[in-house]
Amino acid sequence: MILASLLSIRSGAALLADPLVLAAIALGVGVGIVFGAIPGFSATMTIILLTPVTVPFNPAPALIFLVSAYGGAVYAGSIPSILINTPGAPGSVVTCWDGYELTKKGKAVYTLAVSAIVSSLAGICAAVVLLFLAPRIAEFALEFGPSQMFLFAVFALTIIPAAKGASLEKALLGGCFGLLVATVGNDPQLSQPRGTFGFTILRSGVDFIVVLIGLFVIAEMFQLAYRGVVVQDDTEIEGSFSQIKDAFRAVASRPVAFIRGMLIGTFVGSLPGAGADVANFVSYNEARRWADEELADKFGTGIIEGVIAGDSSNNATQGGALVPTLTLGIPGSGSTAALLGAISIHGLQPGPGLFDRSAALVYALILSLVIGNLLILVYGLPGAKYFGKLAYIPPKYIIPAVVVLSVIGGFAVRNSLFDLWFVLLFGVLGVVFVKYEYPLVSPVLGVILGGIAESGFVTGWLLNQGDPVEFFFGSYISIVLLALILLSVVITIVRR
Amino acid sequence: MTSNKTSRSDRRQFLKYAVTAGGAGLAGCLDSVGRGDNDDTGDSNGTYPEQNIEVIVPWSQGGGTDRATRATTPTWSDILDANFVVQNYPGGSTQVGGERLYDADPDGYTIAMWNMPQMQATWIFQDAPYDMDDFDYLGTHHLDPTMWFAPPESPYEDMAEFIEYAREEGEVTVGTTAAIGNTALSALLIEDTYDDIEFNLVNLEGGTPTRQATLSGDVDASVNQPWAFNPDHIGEVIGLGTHTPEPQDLWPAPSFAELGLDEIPLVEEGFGQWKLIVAPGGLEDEYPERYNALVNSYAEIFEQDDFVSRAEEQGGLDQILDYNDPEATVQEVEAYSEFMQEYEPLFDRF
Repeated sequence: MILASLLSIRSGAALLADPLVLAAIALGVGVGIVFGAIPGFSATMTIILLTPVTVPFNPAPALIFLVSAYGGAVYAGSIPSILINTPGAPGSVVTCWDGYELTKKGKAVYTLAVSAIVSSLAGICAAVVLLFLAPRIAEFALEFGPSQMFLFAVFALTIIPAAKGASLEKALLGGCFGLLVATVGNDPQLSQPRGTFGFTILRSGVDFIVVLIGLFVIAEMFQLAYRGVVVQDDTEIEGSFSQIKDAFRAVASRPVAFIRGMLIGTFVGSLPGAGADVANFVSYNEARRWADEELADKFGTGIIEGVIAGDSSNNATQGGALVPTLTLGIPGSGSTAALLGAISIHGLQPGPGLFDRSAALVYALILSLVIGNLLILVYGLPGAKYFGKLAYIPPKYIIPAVVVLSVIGGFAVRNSLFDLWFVLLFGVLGVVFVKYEYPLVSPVLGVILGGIAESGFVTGWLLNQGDPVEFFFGSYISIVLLALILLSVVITIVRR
Repeated sequence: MTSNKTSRSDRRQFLKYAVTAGGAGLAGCLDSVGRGDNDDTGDSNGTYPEQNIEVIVPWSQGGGTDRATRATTPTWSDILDANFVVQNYPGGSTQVGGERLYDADPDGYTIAMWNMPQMQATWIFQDAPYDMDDFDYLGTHHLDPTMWFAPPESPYEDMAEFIEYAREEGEVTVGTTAAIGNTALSALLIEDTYDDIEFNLVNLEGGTPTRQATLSGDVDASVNQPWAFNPDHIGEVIGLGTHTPEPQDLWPAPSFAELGLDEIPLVEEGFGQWKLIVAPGGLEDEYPERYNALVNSYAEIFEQDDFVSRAEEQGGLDQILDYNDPEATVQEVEAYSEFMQEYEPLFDRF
């Protein structure tokens, strides 16, 4: 078994030797940083917008490019956080709190260097965890029968409010809305059309990528248009090489802080529905809770511990979030939901069995994370302050460019103009959801999980000959999943 | 050519341009939408083929039909000197792709790799706007016979023993790859043949879940095809038998006829899943030279070593390749249509 996975790792490494693949990593990280450094451009959006561009390429360079861009974008979200107190993405909100204070003290270059170092190291560590853990989990995932897949889908929907601190009702309502959308199309058991209103294209349902583009991209553009100018003032950043040396020393002298953030990021990332946006808050709070009283009071006033807490966790989510995405076909975050779409566009079927079918590519993908995160250091250390300038691009250029790319992305899913109406519809819905504080990831997960949950329920029920005891308590996996569902609901209720 | 079809063609062009141009050339790709790029279609004076040929695959990427198609088009490209673009339109149990083909112009630039009896099921059991006569059939590709599998360590070794076991148990659970198709029909025919057995039929929705349910013992038996099941798993599950008169080479298992189960319908004819190349109806009449070019070049593929070795790499697909010319293909399509219609009442059971 170990030998087999070592062989697969080697064949994955062989894929990486292709110059085109290496170029894909180098370009991907660079493009990801550029996109991520623009406030409002999340990693999710970066993947969505870049996916159609990868369609003409082979799966290996295409997916590795996207994964690299994902890592670059998560890292770069912290650049505008530090420089102008505006997070580039929800995963970098806490970085503002201490990062910007440090910038005000004239330590911008030092802070940016610390951010690049911890992002890079955390990304690499999480990738190594993924490399060794994912095959074990993938093997375990093969034990998941239909009824376990159903329960896991329910767990994925109930954990969102617990993880995000959102309202239970709103998260579940959003999830149920997604499930409802997922019922459109031929029903999986009998192939009879449901809710298609006579449109043939709807027989294959509403594609979740279309929903994702609407909710995560178009809605954000509406909001950007509403907010208007991103940032106005332009401050000069001064720094020197010695600040970068100090940055290395700062990280090296705080290994516990770094490892804690990295572990929190990997764990939170691996939960379905929770990504960098959740991890950086959890990590920051834990860092403060662990600190002695004197240090705890200084959080938010510009201490490097705050930056380390935020940035070590957000890049580690990438490795974690890929675990359920690759092994169960259930995305760990909005970004991996977008990646899931890209994976199936390139002809791979995520879910149990992916490691069997496409071992070399999956390992190449994981190994590319290591190289990609090293490149974050290469690009980030010298370049961060220049990438910071991207925050000043006026919305009048951003919005039309992004909307055009979204239209191409929405069209590319299945060559259908019909889907563009859905992009618009979900864009408007997204604005409503954000205004009324419905977590956006809930409806998207609902759409993705609808098919999994329905097939799991129906076939599981039939296989157990309609016996509910056998269905819910037939295996220890089912019982553990039921306990997890209960736990996430209880946590949400108690937390109020 | 109707304006409706023009715009559909435009959309295809749009994607092609949009994707190639990527983010960089947005202005350029929008231009191409405005212009329309199909001025050259319908011009019978030009040499065929002078543009890309789209191959519709009514299933997702990575599935059996997709893999068979992608193993075929490189060789076809060389022979016909054309560029083939494989496009996947999954959904509606092949009806989404089927309607796409039905709506396409019969100009030799759109064809499909379809499979039967799923193809027939879309117009017999679903509400597809087309039927058998709306298409031209260029030739078959391969026949994957219907085969029964059982979990490892089951107390039965072949289909005859399984039927005996079902008799004793009263009811057994049987998984199929789809609700309507060769696997479900095989199960329904067997249940119908023997009055004293009862199947708890479960549509496991695809080859991969069927394999998994068989390996893990969630079902007492499952119905699939040997190539679709993936011959890498020979030895891991029990091959109960194939719904055919003769045994096949891909997976060591007896045929139903060998086991003396010839009272089950369709055993004499041999029953399985065909993949075949289909074109929009009217191609042969409107563009006979294009039709012939496609038919002849397609037949040639099966003689080419590079194709056969590529098929071999696809889990031994080379062993079940089965080319039939258009005439024989039409006969096979008719035969499958007839028995799907004949046994339609059985499907009410689902």
